[in-house]
Amino acid sequence: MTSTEIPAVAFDEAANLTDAVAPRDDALPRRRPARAHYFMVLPPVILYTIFVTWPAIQGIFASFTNYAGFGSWHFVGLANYRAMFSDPELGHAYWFTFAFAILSTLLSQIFALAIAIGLNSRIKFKNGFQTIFFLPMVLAGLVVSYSFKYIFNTTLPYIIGWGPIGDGLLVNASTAWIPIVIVATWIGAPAAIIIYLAGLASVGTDVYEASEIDGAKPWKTFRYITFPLLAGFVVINTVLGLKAALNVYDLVIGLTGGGPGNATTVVSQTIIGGLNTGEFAYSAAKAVVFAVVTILISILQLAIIRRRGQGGL
Amino acid sequence: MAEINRRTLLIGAGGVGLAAALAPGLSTLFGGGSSSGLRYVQAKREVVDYFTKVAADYNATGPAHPVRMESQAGSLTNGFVRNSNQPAVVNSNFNNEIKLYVEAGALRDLSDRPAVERLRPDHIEFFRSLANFNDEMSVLPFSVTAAGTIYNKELFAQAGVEIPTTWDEFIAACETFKSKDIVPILGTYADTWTIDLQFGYHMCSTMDVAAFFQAVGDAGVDLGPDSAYSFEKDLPPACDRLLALLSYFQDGFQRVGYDQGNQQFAGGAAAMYFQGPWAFTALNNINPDAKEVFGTFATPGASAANTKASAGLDLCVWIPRSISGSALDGGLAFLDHLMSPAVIDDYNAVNLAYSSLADAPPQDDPQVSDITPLMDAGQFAPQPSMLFPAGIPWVNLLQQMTLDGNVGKFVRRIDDEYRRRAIRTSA
Amino acid sequence: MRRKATRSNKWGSIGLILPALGILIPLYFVVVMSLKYQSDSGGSGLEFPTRIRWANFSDAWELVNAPRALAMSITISAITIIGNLLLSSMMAWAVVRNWESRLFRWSFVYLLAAMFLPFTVLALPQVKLMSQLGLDNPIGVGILHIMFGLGFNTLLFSAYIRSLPVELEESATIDGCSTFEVYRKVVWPLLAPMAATIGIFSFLGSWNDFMMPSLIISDIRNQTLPVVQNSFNDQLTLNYNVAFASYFLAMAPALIGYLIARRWIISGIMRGAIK
Repeated sequence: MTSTEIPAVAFDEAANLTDAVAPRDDALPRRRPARAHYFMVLPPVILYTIFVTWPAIQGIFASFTNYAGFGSWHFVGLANYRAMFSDPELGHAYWFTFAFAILSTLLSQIFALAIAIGLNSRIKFKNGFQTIFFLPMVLAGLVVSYSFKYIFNTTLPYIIGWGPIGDGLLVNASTAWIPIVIVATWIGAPAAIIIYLAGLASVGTDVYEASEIDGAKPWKTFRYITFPLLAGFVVINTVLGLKAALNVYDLVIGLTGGGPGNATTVVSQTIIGGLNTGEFAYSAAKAVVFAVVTILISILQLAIIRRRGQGGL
Repeated sequence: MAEINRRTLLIGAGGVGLAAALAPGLSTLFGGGSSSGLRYVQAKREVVDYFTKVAADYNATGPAHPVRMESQAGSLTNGFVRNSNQPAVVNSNFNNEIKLYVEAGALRDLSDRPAVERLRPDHIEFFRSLANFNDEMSVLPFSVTAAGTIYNKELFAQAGVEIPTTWDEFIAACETFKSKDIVPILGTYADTWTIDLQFGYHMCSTMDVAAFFQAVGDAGVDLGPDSAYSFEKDLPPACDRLLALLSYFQDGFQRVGYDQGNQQFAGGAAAMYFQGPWAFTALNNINPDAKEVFGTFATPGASAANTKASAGLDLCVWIPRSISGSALDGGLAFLDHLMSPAVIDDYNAVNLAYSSLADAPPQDDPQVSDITPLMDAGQFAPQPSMLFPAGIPWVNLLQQMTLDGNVGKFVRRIDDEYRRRAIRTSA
Repeated sequence: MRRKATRSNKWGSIGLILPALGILIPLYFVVVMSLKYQSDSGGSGLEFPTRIRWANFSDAWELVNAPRALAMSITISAITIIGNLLLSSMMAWAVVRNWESRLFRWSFVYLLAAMFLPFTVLALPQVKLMSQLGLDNPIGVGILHIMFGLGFNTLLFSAYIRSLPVELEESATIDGCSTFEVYRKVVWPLLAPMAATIGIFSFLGSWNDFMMPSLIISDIRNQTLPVVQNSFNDQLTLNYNVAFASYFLAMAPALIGYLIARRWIISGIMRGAIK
């Protein structure tokens, strides 16, 4: 669930919600829903309420207590929230998570776009390249991270014995973020490539032929024709990539465990970690705040897409 | 708007209810399998083999409820949060997580066990100084260890150094070793718990550890520069000692881990080693002469009077309060077996620790015999890591201090974390 | 013009080689390390093995109990795929065909909320809840996967269903089909392309998930393939060749599935992307 990119249509449709599901103009006049239709809607809703809504309410409730996850507890009002805002570990985790998310999303998009353009052009071994570039998507983030951990700790220092790489990027607090960004790009690029390929396919070859006839050089073609037409897809990919990156967990656990010290600890870790330290209520408060942040960002992104959509892709 | 037929709704709800009822039933396919024995957790790495044999021997006697030992390391806290699939008996190191369970009242009161009457009073007191829930016997102490400075008798003789009894003598000894090209102390800072352990020695010898933690716990939200006791006021002497010793470690000690350290020390790479008796399991395995070569002395304080052993409740046994029925009967039976002299006294004799039974034979193994008198005389202090609440990133911050030498930042940060935690949990 | 065509051809191919190597070399590394003896693994580890230690695989297999972990992963993925396809498609169809009804519309929006909630924020209360319900096992994880996918999958299906002609359903109703039969005989077959896309995404998300099974499943013997790599990390990394053999075993099913069904998977995902 956490490591798969959501196709573009999800957000595109969400932004134009009523258009997505509204009945067509020539639909039948209103009639009562068939009984079977209720059977199709109520079970998901009920199950969802039990398994999602109810725990959400419990979490919010717990955030106002000092519940350790077991044993006795009492209300503490806003104490958890007050403590959160002076918590240096959490502050650093937010800073690091956002910095990581922005950087890795940017890099993923640049790589993915470049590779998609390459794949879209007339090259040899297109199928072979396609197979290779889509491959990382089917692998588990944790297992990939463990593999790369050894590469960064042992193989690279052996091959390049000097400088930060030679010391092992993961051991040093100031460079430990680099492998995480690299692995995130490695795993995240395929999904973005697919979307760009779809976008390039929708752009069509006529424009390229026209620009070739006019004698345009490849870079100019890209800058004035390809990129503007793809702009919408770039936005969508960035939005999706950012959301996935903010929730990164597997990669950090596999590569650094959050270390050295707290250097690479991410927000999801600080929340999950509360399970084992008897800080259920504190984690609940952190979770509430994180949910609010995530929702705000999503709303912001939807607004951007909607504006783009209205401006015409 | 369409009208919802009440019958439809009931049928729909019934369908969902049926599915929901089936799911747990189906999921018993994945059940823990009580048929395969009661869950007995013992995850102390060095003694997994020992207790595997204990469990096997117990099962061989044909008890009503055989046990199945688990040695997977990992926090047991989420078992309490889930309140399901709890182990029937746990034999674990007492640490700040166990403290959490005790103080939440989540452990069964074992005061009625026959072993309780035969326990050493000083061990019971020791446990109570670490955690207390309504004066119940939330755990039974099983093994107390005294950690100090393991030393290489041959290297000491070679350099003409006597066992130091004061801090100044300790530093002088290090200087002597250094001048003779012998590494004074072996460091294993890649494994941060070892930093924590030796910092405990310095805390032991510069303050009254139990009283200190009691005081900062009481200060609660008022902890700060103005309180009577605080980390900022009282911790720097221990920090200074820790930092002072860094120059006496071997080159590259920050990258060496515990296992590697054992190898090196067993091979005579250094004169002293800050470890507890559990390390002897490895040292004795690696070096056949270990019994003659290595001994332990208490890391000295400013004077002989402040020299204390750093004691840990290395193993204790407990049962979660939620265990009941046949699991409880089986768990209590196995617990009584663990506390029987054949098991507990034998374990402690072999592992150079102190049995919690009052009538146990004295611990006179030459590798720890120098430190035993201190333990018997009550000259010991608890290892501080047991007293830090879970959730305060104590060890990370400690490691950071050893890297940047910034004592002020470290102690103020610990005060902040403590105060913040008090804000969160008391209100 | 022809000359220009060949020129872009060459640069394109060359430019792609480096990134392609970036993907292939780590995978090659995993394979090679998993085949070697520990004593031959010094240095960079990239060298081709001079002799092969097949026991690495059997060691890993036994240590993490790979067959059982594989079975757990399969169970969860199967539950997730089936649940997602059935629940989401039916929900989407019912909602689209009854869009005028406020109840249906609001139910739909209600489910969409989950798209904005990452598992992290619900994790701890869900751990407690699933244990209370006796669902702290693969079945529970499957249920949660379905729940988190409901909003998004229903959205995808509903967009797709909108484009289906309603006349087919009407004529089936006139012919005397009940609502469920209309769904089963008319709608479901038409959904096949979208179902394939959603099935693939469900599978990938569920199969490779680490966070949820690691938290929800209480008994380590019931854990999934990615999670056991983490649980047994201490023992695995005593011998890195065995560790890599284990990682390879964990990657193998997905890799094999991908290579076999490559065309189908890629076209399925592209279709979803285009829509």
